[in-house]
Amino acid sequence: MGRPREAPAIEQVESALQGSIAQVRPPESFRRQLGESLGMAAHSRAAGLSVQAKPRPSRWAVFITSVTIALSVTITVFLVRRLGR
Amino acid sequence: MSSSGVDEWNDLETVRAAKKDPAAFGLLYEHYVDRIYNYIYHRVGNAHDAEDLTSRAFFRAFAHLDAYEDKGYPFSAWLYRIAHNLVANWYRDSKRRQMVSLDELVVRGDPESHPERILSSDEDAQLLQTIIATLDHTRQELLYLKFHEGLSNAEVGTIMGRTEGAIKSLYHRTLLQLRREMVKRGLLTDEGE
Repeated sequence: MGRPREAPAIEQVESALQGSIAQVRPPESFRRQLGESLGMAAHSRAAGLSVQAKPRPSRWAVFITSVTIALSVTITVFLVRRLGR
Repeated sequence: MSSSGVDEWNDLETVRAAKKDPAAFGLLYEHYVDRIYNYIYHRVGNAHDAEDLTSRAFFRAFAHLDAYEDKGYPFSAWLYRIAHNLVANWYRDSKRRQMVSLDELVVRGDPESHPERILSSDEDAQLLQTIIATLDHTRQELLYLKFHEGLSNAEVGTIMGRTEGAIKSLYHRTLLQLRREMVKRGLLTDEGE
């Protein structure tokens, strides 16, 4: 049964809260600099340029390369030993 | 980044234009930078981090603008959601869980780089701000979005990642908590209860 009695109480708080939160503005220098940086990014994109993270080699590529190198070394050593006999 | 050419602001049209021509993102920036900065500043409590996070928010919005779709919520809710996530990460990374007192905001930082602040000289308003600063940061964010931005429960829910019902319930509990504190500190009489 609390809600009907709470209503005016809450309205009082809502009314007190109206306009109570202070307004801040960013410094003009920051505002301008960020706008310029975004403008440059937009210009780069429009020109077809984009900044991308350097692609990392996949785990499979690293694994297959390692196995290939190991096999090559083993076969070479084996052949050299046979030829040496 | 020109801000000319739009007589009557229209989120969707501007977003559509920015998707086609990246330079039009400048219009969105000019329209929202003060609000996003203000929101972040109130959450982190200092100009340095507010500037850093505001920059990141706009660059992230710029990078992901193509992913934005109109799902019935304003573009601003999408932008606030980005800012909300960045601030959440900031809290997580820096372990600064507590909101900074709004009173501290006035004296902290270099006056040269300090944002312009419109101060209320009203003592009751100051006391109310002190009470708000004692709330946890989720409730402070809720009050900010409701009373400073005038957003609906559904929009606040979109930004904070909660359901509309959860926001409604949290809002109700927050106002009751505030009321108790206001009565305790003599800002309100307890006639309403």
